Amino acid sequence: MFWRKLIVVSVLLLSLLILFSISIRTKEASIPPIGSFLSPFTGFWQQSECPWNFRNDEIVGAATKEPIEIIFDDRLVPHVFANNNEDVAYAQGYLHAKYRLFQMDIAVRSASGNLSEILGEKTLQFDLETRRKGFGLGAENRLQAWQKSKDFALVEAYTKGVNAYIECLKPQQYPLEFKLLNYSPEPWTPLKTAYMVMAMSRTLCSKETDIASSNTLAKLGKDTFDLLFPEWNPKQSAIVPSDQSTFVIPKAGKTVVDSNAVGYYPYKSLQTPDEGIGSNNWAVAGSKTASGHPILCNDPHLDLSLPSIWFEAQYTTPEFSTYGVSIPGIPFNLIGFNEYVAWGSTNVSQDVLDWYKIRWTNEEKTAYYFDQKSVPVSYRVETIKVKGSADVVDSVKYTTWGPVVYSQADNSYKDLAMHWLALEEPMQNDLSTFFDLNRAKNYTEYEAAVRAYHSPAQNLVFASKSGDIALRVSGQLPLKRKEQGRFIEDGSVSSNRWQGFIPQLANPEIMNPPRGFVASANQHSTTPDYPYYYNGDFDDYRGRILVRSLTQMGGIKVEDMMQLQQNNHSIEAEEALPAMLMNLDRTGIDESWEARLGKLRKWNYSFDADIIEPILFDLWYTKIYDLTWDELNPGPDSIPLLKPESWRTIALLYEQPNSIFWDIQKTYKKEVASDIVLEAFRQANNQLDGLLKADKKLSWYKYRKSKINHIARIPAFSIDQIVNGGYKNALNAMKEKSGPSWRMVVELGPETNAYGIYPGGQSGNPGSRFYSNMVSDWEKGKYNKLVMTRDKDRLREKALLTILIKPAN
Amino acid sequence: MKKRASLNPFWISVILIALLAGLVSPFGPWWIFSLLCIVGGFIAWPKGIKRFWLGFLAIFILWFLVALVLDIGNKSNLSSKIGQLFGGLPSIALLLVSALIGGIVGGLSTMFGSYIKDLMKQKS
Repeated sequence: MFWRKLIVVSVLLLSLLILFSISIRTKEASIPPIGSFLSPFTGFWQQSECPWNFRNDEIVGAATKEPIEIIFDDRLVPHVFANNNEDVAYAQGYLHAKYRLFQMDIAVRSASGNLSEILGEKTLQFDLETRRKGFGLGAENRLQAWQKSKDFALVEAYTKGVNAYIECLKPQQYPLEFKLLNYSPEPWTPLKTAYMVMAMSRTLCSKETDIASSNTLAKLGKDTFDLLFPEWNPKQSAIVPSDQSTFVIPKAGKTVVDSNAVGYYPYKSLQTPDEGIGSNNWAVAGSKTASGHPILCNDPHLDLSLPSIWFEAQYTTPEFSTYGVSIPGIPFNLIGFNEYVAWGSTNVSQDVLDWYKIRWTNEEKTAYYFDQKSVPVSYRVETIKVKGSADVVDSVKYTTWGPVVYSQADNSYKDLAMHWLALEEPMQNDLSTFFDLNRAKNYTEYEAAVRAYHSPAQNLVFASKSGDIALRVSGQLPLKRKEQGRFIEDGSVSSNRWQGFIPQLANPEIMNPPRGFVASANQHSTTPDYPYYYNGDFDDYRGRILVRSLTQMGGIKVEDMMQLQQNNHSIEAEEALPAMLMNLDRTGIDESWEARLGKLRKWNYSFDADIIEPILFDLWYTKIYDLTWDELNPGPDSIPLLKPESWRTIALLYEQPNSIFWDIQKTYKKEVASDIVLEAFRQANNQLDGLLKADKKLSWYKYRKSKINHIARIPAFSIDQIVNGGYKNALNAMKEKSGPSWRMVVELGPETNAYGIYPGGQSGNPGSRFYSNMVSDWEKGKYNKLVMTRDKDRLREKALLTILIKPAN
Repeated sequence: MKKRASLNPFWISVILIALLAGLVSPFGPWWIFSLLCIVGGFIAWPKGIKRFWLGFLAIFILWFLVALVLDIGNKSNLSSKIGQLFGGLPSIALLLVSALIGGIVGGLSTMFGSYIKDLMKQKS
């Protein structure tokens, strides 16, 4: 009897200890070890941030040169006071780790193909694709270039700062997500910072439509293709219009004969960045402002996430003081201002990723033809650790173009190698670009900094207290012959290589133009008279409303700029709706829809949060687009095809309402534009009737359903419904999952007058009151005053806490 | 009703184990208190159902109170989010579940400790 009791108790105790210590994985989710996760000493309770957590702290024995003082203001924005550049980088690394460690870890895992190590088989395909695209090679090449720079010491200091924080972490202090996923943080390295730049490159410069374009060209023939897919929108207002430009246009290089490899490519498109990725920036000269001082504005539109992509801080040394936002994992503020100048960034969107068809010389695919010679491939062996199963090994083949990403056993003559700028060792070492911007004092120093920039190419806007404004298309841009890289190229001849790079002096730039402002919104960098060919994914509408608005404005105040950032007007709607109404035959319309139509006629094309007109427009226009381009839907063999841009569709609605494009393929009738417009109107109204039945108070923001997801897609840590106006091609570019990720307005008077806000909070801890505290003000269009000061006493008055970091000796 | 004497040795053991477990828990793995409870059960040597209650009460109370203090300081900001992960548990339920997990392991541990003592006494 006694023995039985003892055995029962021992077995029970042991099995519970084991059960509560292991993580249980189901197909949908993985449950963390319940014992350690629920223990108030080791588990999630430890991340319950309490008022007594904000205690002043002192860190001694740090690997810094001199002491660092960090004063946090009431929004948890750190103001760092250091005596040298390395210590600034160290402090930034420490702060990024302290508040955003999981975000940094998951971003590096995503860019290095190491997600499966913590998430298991469900991310294996994603990791394989990342590895096949050569992200590892790209990061190593980037690091190699950085190591030659004198400023590499800053990356090393940043790394030390991150690791100083990680080293002193006890398991119970691990960020919540580490506990949920049951793994430990690993030390930071400079290579991981290089991977962060690869992550940025994936978001900003990996977009291309080469396969879809080649297939569409093969299907439609050159004439129809050119009619539907012109590269220039004649109504576009370029970033650097030739009449406002200050740079000397050099002669173009020699072009070579095109040898496009036309044919169908059955490959599915790989992961491409979301369409909503884009941004606005502009600067107005003192001649256009009420105060007479320049104003600079920037709002990058990126995936909205919690924690936010941005971290806000001020860094001060005796040499400079700079305020702005950085991306955790990368040193220096990427967007911001200092005591003399301000700068901001939008994406250039030129195509720097091209595909080359490989002609193998043997069935084993170990060599390929290149200029009539047989060239062996080289291999890069990728080993992916997978949680809960064996390692997966992939030998990726590399050609002179780059990795062979698309490969099929039964389709070997269509294997494709990728040539991507982001994989190359930078010809210019661009490590210092953003560091130099942080401490630039004038236009000359800005220009020197941005000329050294490599990639992903950015439209870097600038304004200074001395009154200069400028905007430069910055980065290395490939020199291409006409239409090169628009379609898949023959990879067996060296003449299909890029012809080098556009000379730095010929990068488009605009400085102090007569019109009194510079502006960019991911539109075409230049007017068509620019002597070099380039293609890309350019925005057609935001740039135009921006240039139109700024041209009309005068006596500009900071508040006007804030309103412009939140402008919901869509030129797409302004141009499409009259053509839609013109082509609508009202005799066939249900009476109950007439009232709705009347409202739509009076609508001012503004996608405001609480009105219904934008829903009807969006439904109606989307249906017209889908019905029209039905012939370009991917076929049953899912061959990807390209559909015309919106501006082209609208132009055809005006210019060719009887063309064959309006015909619906499935029907015998030969439809013209008015048939499509009416059918789309019926479908849209039927759908809207249904939506209104479900929710009588339906309005634009509810229909658009924007949300802010947690970076690991944990619903409890996400925000479900954003209440604001905005549309994908309005300046306030709100989409379902992306939008203005940081709004900044800086007036460069004697006293800097700066405002900014991002939809998140400084702390990445879901248990912190600073996790999402700025979201509701951001939704309402409010801004925080950004206080840049060297006056420590002023900061201490409202300080939440102070951290002192002291070196060993 | 008459109150129990506050110097009842059982309750003193409960409080002692809770206090000691609270002191060592921040410095070890989550189950560190189990070792302490085994030793506690061995020394206190309770009989019958108290073999279990000794550790259960000590750890249940300890975990509940510590989590409660953190949750109040945090205004249930985090526990309400974690509750959603666990199928919509309210904060107070999450507190009780946490304390129960600790309590059960604590109870089994003191049971085990006391039986070991039985075993040794039998042999000697």
